[in-house]
Amino acid sequence: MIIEVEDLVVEYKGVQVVDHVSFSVEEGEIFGMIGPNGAGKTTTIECIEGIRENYSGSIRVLGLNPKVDRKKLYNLIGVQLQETSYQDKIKVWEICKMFSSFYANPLPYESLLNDFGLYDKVNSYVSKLSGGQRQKLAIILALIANPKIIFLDELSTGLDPQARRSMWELIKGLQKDGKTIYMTTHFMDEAEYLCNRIAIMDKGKVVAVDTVENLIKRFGLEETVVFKADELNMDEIERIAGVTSLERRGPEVCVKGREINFVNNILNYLGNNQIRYRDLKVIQPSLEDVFLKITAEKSEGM
Amino acid sequence: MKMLYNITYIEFKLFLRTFVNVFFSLVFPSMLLLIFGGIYGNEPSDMFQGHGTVDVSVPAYIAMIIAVTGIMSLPLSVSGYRERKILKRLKATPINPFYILLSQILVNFIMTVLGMVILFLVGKIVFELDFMGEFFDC
Repeated sequence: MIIEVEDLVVEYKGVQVVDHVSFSVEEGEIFGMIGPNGAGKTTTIECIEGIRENYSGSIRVLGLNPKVDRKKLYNLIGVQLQETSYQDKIKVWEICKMFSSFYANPLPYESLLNDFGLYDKVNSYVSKLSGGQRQKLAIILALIANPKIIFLDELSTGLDPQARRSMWELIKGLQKDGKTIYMTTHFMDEAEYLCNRIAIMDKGKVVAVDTVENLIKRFGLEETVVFKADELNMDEIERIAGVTSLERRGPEVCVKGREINFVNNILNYLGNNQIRYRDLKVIQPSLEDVFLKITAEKSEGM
Repeated sequence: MKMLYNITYIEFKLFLRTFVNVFFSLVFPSMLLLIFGGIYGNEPSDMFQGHGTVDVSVPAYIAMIIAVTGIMSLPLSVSGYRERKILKRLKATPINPFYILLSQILVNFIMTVLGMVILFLVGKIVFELDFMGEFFDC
C-alpha cells in the first residue's frame, strides 16, 4: 500500500465535505477518483498531498504522515493542482530551474521538456503557452522531483480532444516508468481508459472502489441490443432468456437484458426464425452508466 | 541555500520585468527630482533654513521609494501569489515558506537601495546635492 487513507473527515462550516473516507492505493497502479462537482475529490487529494491540514483521520503516504514529514514527503511525490497560475512574466526554463532547486535529486528539466515536446518553448513566457502546453508544464514540474507518486487533479479539463489523447499516452508512459498515479477526473472515458482502479465519490463519501470491469458487473447493468427489422413478433422476443425490457420505435427495436448469453440468444432467435434485420449493434454498459446509476440513486434518496 | 539563491534570482528578474515596479522605484523619483530641481534649482532658500529645494526633496523622494517597494510592490506581489494559488503550488514542494517571503524582502530591499543610489547620484551630478548625513552613522 503506497497510500493509505483511513476514516478521513474534513469539516467545512459544519458540513462534512469528506465523510469518513477510507481507501488505499497500491504501488504502480493508476488510481482514479471520479465524482460529480463538489463531491470532495479535490479536498481528499489535497489532504493526501499535505496541502490541507484541517482534517481528522489518518493518512499515510509512502509510510509518511503528510502533516509531519512534509519536507521528506515532497521529495517523493509530484503534484499538479486543479488550478494554478504561475508568476507573471516567468519563462519556462526559469520556472523549471526554480523548481529543480527545491529538490534534493531533481531530474534534468531539459530532458523532461524534450520528452514532452516543449523544448522549443523553453524561452517562452509561461503566460503565452496554450492550455495543453501549460498542463504539460504542470506535469513536468510534478516530475522534476523524480517522484514515486504523481497526483493529477483534473488534468485534462479544458483540453481539446487531441491534447487529451496525447496526455493519456503520457500518463500511461509514466506508469510504465514505475510511477504510481493518483488522479481525479470528470471524464468517464478517461477513467475507463487509464485507471486500473476507480473510486467513485459522491457527496463526501466513497461509494465504490474497484476495477472498471468489476464495477460494471457489480452494479448489474444491462447490455443493450439495438437493430432494425420490419416484421417482428414482439411477444416472442420478450420471452427470450435474459430479456428485461423491450422497446420499439418505428422499425427500430431496442432490447435490454443482463444474462451472459443474452446477446447470443437474440442472435439465435433472429437467425432461427429467418428474420431480416439490419443495423444491429450491441451497447456494452460503460463506466458512465455505473456512475449515473450510483449518483442518481443517491439524489433520489434525498 | 541553493533554493533561496535561485528563487531570489528569479524574483529579481521578475521584478525587473514588471514595468510598474521598475518605473516607480527606479525612474519616477529621479524624474520628479529632475523636473522640480529644473524648476526651482538648488539655491539656498530661507524657506528651507538655508537648504536648496533639491536638498530637501531627495530625502522625501527616498521615503517615497521605500513606500513604493514596502507598501506597494512587496505586499501586492505576495498577496497576488496567494490569490493566484502560486503559494499553494509552492507549498507542495520542499521549499521552506520563509524563503519565499525572504526572497521577496531581499529583492525589494535591494531595489530600494538601488533606487536611492540612483536618486542620490542624479541629485549630486545634476544639482550638486548637499549631502548632510553620515553614510554609516549609527
